[in-house]
Amino acid sequence: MKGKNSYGEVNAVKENIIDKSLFIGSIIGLLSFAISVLRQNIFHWGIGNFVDLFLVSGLFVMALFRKRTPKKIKSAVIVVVLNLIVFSDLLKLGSFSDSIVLMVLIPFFAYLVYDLRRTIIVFVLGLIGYAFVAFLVLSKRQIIPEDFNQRILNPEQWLLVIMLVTLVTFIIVVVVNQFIDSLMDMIDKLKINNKVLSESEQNYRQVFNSTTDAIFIHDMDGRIIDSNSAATNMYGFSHHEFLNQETLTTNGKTDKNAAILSHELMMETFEKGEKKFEWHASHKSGKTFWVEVGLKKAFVMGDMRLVAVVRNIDEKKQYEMELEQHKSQLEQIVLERTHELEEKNKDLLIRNETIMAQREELKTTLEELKSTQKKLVESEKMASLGLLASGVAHEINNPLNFIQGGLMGLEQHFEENTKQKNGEITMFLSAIGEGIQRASTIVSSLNHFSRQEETKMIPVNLNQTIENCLVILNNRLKNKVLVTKNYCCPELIVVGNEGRLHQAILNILSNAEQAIHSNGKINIFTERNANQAVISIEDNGVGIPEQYLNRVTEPFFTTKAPGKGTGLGLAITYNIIEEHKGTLEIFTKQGGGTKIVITIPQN
Amino acid sequence: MVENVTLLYVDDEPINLTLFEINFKKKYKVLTAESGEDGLNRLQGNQDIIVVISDMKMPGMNGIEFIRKAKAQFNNIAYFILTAFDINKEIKDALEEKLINQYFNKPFNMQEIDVAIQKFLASIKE
Repeated sequence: MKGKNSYGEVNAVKENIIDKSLFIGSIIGLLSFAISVLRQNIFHWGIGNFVDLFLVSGLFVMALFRKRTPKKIKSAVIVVVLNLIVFSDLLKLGSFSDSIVLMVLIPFFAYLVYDLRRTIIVFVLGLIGYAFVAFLVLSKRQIIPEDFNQRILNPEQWLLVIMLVTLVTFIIVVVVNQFIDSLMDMIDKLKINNKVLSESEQNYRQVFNSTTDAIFIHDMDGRIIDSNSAATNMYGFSHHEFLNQETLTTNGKTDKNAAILSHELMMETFEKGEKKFEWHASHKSGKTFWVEVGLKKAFVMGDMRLVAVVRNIDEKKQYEMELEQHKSQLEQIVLERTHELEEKNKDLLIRNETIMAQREELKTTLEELKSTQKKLVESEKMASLGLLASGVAHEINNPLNFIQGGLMGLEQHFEENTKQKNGEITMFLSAIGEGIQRASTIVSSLNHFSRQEETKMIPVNLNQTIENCLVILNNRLKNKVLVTKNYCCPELIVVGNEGRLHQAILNILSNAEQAIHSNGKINIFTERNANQAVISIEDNGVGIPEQYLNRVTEPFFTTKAPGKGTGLGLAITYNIIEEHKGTLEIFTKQGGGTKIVITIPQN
Repeated sequence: MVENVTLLYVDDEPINLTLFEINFKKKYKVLTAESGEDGLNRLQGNQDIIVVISDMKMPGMNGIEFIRKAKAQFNNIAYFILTAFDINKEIKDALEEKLINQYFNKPFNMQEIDVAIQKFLASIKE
């Protein structure tokens, strides 16, 4: 059906026309019927009159209910009515029939409802009907009783005819008017629509062309069917050039891989509906640039298309790449720095350890220093003592010298004058001599502390030293003390000062002897112990009381009666042993004897 | 035996000088001096001094200093130190250098000194 999109509007017009026609037709029908009734007495009505009545009333009813009746029925009714009017009149008046005019309307109304073909059929039927009636009349089968001269002089006839003509004209005019109106209306609407569309189209086209992003519309085969201005700016190809090439070539690579990839992307988009990706595009000039493509499946321009929105991200990409570079550089730097820091850290840790070690060392050193300080203080004491001793020794020695000199003189005198000498004198002289001796001994003992001579260190056989001392003490030891000796070896060598070592051992042995009051034993052991010489001298004498034990090496400390000991023996011994870097240990029990253990390093 | 040996004894204490003289004059001829300087003068004046015994601690020159000076001039003499002090470095060095033959402690042991002198005399006789 032509113009099927405007079906509704045309139908409305047709409906309108039919309705209006029904209305007018029924009015005119009524009027004409009224006139014919006036002409003819009601009692002389023939079948025709009743048919007329039927028709008119039918028409009238239809007109009344015209809004509720379907178009086809209304039209059919009009057609039928018209046919009846026409043919009944035709039968009555033959070719003089004025209602024949109405025959124009028959195809007219038929065409409102049916298509052209049917309308022609209807008209042809009408023609056939006309022909039939004509045949009937011409073959004298139908007699037209009418007196036409009379008829012409009938004013109602003239009125009727003109009314029919008016009707038909009216209807035609109305119909045409309706059509024209609607047409105008439609055209107006169309024009407005068009304008709107055109504007809209323009707007959208403006929008299409005023983006910064390029827009491409591809068909299902990937061909570009539209592109916007931005695309031209971006790629350098004109709109026309775009349409004449495939998308596949508007990329940065002309190799097969790109084509395949591009095809894959499009397929994916068809499946999923949309896809975003980055692409390396190429300008008409050959220069390449990075773009971001948003591909979407859409129904555009009458079919499924792929709409691509392309954004130039070249700059961004450059930045991205630079950023990547910077990032890796940074990472590299961070790694390096971290490594450096780790190294430094290791360094610091090592240093820290060193510092800790040094701290420990310092601690130890501090301890040592403290201990040394103590020793120094002791040493100072000893030194002061030494100084004192030295001074005293000298001051005493001189007077002693005088006394000695004097004594010698006196002795000499009494040698020469023996007569004067007697027991008493001898005793006096002897007493003076003894006094000098003792004083001298003490002074020389004291001198030990001021002795500053460099000791000559020579190898000394300690076993021999002990033997020598035993000889010196023989007088005091014999008949009183039983001495047992256990020497480790024939020679026990230490490097030291012979004289001093003798003195030390002599002091110890002397003390041991003095601790034994009646009878006793002294046991002497010597042994070698890991490069140390060890001498042990044990007596079973009186022992040392506990409260004195830590004072025995104090100078001048003695428990002996005045004159019986200087209190310097052990002090001196201790000093000597220390000089030789050795140790002196005292083990004792009051009443149970004493053991002295001397340890001296051999070198 | 009585030798005709001249000794010089140097000491700053007069008592010491007296005592020494008394004790040694039986055997030897004893000259005395009160100081190192005095001692040097004595040596100048008496060529037959062959033994010098000197105290250590004296005002002015000490014993060693005196002996050093003396020996420089008179080195055929035997020099001894007699001192109230204990042996010290100066004396030790002097011994090692053979500046002095021996040293004696005060109070002196006459026998010890005598023996030392005799030893010296014996040695020069060879």
